[in-house]
Amino acid sequence: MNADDIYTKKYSATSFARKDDKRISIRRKDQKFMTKKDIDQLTKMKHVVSVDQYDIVNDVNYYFEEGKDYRQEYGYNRMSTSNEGGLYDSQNVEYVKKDQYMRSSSCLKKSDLVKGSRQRRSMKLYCTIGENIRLVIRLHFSIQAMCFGHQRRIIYSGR
Amino acid sequence: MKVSGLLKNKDKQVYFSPEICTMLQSTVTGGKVFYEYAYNQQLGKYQGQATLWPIVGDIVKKDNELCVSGAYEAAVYRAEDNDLTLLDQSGLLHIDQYDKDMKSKDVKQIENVETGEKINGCGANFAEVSQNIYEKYYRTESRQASVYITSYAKMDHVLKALDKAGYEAVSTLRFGADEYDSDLVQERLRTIGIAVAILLVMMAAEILILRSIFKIQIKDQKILKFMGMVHKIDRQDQLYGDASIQYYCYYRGRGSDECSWNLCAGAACYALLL
Repeated sequence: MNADDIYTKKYSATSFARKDDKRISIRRKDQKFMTKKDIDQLTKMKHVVSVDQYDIVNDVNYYFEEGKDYRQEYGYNRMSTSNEGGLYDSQNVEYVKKDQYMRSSSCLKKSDLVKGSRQRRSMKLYCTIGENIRLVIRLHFSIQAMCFGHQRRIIYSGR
Repeated sequence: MKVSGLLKNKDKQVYFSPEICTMLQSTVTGGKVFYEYAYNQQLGKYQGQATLWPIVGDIVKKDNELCVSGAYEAAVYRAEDNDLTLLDQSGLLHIDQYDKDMKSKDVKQIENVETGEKINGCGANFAEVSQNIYEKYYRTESRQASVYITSYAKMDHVLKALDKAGYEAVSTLRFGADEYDSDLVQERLRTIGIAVAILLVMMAAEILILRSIFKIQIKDQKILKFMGMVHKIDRQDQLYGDASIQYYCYYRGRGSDECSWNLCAGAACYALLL
């Protein structure tokens, strides 16, 4: 048991947008790229449930259903102001449900699936979804990620 | 977009292919492309400039092709006084990469790049480059990974193990939680206060119960003595006997808070009686 007072503190999503008490962000001490060997080693560690090879996408929001996850206004595009004060082209999209974060299929095992495969060798967009998610064709992403140790953050909305 | 599999459990989480993750991640850690277009002979420089995020799609096949998004085209249309001919002219594409210190470095320049007539279906600054360029200059691996553990209670244990195994690791919750929230602090103190009060009441109740049991036992001894019992029962022996029962209860229910407090209450009772 950790004797800390973490739950009496406010969470600021400026560094890691996804608030998850079970998540650890890691990199190698020699700052080299993570290899398959690293991922396998991490997966086998005690108390580890899963390892996602792509840390930054864990802080990327996705929006599926128009009207529920996001609202789209049609007509002339307005410029919007980001959290950091910069102007960007919002394409008249207002993001409503900001609690859905991406994860990569690299953390899934074959046994986690009832049907299909984890990944397809293609640069096109494929995803694996829970049964209770209704899918629409258009996907929106908003990236708010921090590069470990560099405090560098980019807020970007696109679809 | 295609769905390639269904999860066994009823999880709301959507999992995306490593390819789309690579592309999104490279906008932050991989690098960007810097595109200069509409060369002005008189000024000797390009008139238009754009910083774009490289992706791979279906449209671009050659290295000297670039496919911008409709949203970006619309932005140029507004910026250049409704003149899109500038974007149609060939340009110079700079391939920029971030090094491990996140500094941008121009690693390659490609001349006579055409944007073509087609636009990609992505938003804003996403621009399609050829698969060849993408794979050559933007790494598909990642320097950072996310590890999910069973419970926050195991956090320190896992962090130590990761440090030992040669990784730098941070709990994202600890990293983000930097300021005390007075409401949460008060709530926590209130909970602790209520818990302590309940424990004190429980201890007091147990002391009273044990005390009455002892009193009953002393009465029994007096009756036995009256009936002719010669052997004198040592009061200390009786207390130790009861203490051993308390300890046995604790030993059987090790880890249970109830048992530990039971033992404490018993000890307090003995102290009072002695």
